[in-house]
Amino acid sequence: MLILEQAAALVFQPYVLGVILASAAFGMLVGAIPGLTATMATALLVPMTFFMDPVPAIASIVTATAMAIFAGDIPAALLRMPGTPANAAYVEDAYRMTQSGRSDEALGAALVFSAIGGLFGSFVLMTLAPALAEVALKFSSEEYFWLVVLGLSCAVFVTPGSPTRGLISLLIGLFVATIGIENPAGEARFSFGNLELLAGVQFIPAMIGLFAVSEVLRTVTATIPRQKIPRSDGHGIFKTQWQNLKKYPVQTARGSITGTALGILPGAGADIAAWISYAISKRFSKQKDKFGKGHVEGLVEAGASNNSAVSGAWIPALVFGIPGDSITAIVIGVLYIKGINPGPTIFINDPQSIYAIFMVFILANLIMLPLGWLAIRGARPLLSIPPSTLMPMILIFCIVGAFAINNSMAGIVMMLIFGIIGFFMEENDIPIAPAILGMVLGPMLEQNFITSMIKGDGNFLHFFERPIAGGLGALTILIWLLPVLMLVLRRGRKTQAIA
Amino acid sequence: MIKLSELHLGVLTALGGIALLLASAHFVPMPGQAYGAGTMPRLIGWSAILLGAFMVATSLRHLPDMLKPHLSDWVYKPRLALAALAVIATIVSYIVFADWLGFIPVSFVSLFVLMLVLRTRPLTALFASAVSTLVVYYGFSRLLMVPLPRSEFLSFLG
Repeated sequence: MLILEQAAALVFQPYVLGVILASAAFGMLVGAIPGLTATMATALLVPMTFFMDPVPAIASIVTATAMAIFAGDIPAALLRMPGTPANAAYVEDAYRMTQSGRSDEALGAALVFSAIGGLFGSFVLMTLAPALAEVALKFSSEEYFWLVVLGLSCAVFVTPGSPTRGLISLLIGLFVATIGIENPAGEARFSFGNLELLAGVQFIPAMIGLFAVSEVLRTVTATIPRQKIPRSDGHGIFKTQWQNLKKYPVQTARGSITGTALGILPGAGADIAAWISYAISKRFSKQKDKFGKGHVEGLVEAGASNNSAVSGAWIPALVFGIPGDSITAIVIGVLYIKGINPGPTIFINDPQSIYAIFMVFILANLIMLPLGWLAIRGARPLLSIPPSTLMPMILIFCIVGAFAINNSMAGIVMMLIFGIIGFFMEENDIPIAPAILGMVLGPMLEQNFITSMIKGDGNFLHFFERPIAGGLGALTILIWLLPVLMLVLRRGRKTQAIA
Repeated sequence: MIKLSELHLGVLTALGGIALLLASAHFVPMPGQAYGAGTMPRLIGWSAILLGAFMVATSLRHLPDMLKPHLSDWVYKPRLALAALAVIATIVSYIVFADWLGFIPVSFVSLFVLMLVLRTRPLTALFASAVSTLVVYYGFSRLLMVPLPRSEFLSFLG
């Protein structure tokens, strides 16, 4: 009880509440602008959080990401341009609803079911994370090694697109993580005598480059013309949502559960959760033929799913220090900067901060309702700002943000290099998320691999000797073999069909 | 921007792996151990070579299509290509001139020029670049106490 009181004292103070409100507005702004993702909102926020205490810093990221993912539904419904990739799954339904004069119903459903999904994910986070942390206390380097490999494997296989390109991205990230002196041998690697590189690649400028600068480049080179924004239909945002909730309780629950589960899976996250939930919704719907034609059912399920995934992704991040998605990958970097080492011991050493973070999740999803209503009402003027004016403004924010980390131009150089790399990767359909996970998990992978190899006297079978490690190892190998097994099965079926 | 096929990417990945193996050849193991600073880079290097070889092998079936690299659509449109170059030039000009001229003039001029290149109306560009420069300057420099570059001879501007 005392811990809860201490946690509440950390959250319910004017400064933290002010930060939450400001971050909510920022998240809404970024999410509502097509192309700017929740991850970009996080990357842009990090330089600001640098100057805050841990709880307001994390509170600002939690609030901004939850808001950004909902706000991405606004341009999806009004312009058929999903604000973030997590809103892309049901963009067709939302836009068709707008065209048939139901834009307020579509946006209201997105808002209400996002908040429900987010709250569900937050409750799972609050109950599951401390229980998992107790189990994780028994983990040794072997279990952590397999958890990291499992996370990286999921990142490659779950990311949309070809797994080979996902692997290239992962290898880029792992290579970047090797730069500098922070390795078990304490020997400088690939720093070429550069003092800035000796401490490794600066994570935050690299993030700003990969997500924000590459996005600015992508937007200014886009060849798609802009569309006109339809007027509000005046039907009321919340009016029909109670009926939707009564009509689709199973879909709401299923979306929330699927989203949370996929969020927990390292490397997955809100984008994939929304697509999978939309597919599940369509598969089990009695009105399959209405999907994609302005039907609210898929929007309800996928909307609940993408926001619950945001909370779910924090479970492996807080318990094991393994990010569930690219947002929590950045958060782990922030936690380390703040002197909080994510992992099971955080629940023993710093429980009040953890419970404060849980409270922030609840708060963020509750204030989403009034702020979301305001955002829907105020989005039309924002969406009419042309990218030719907006992108330069974002760019100067990126430049100063990258500079502010170490007050040096090296951060901006790093941002530029990673911006061009990110743009090249996107143009070649190489996903960025595996690279981020590689950068974050690379040092952990190396540390646990070398420690375990030394403990096992060079015998790789040592990685399977402890029961949990053996189970995790077997699961990881199964994931690697899955594509081969699927191929063999498919070929077998074809041969049978021909015979 | 060049769009590479599976074959090109495979070759590039394998070459990257070879380069990494060569660059990590001089790392010695930790005393009394078989592992050291070179272990991880070598693992990444070998993984890249294997992945590259796999990509080359699987793309050989579609060889004629895979040989020719493609360019993105925007490369053929001078206005869009110029926009991409202008974004990069803005960052480079900040790196080169900010310490010399200070944040406010460099930010204002580079934003104004970039907006004009992206075809914002001159008056809107003037207003938007002035407002964003001042907001970023006061937000970071005064509220967050970030020592943004200041010019000696243009100190009256910041």
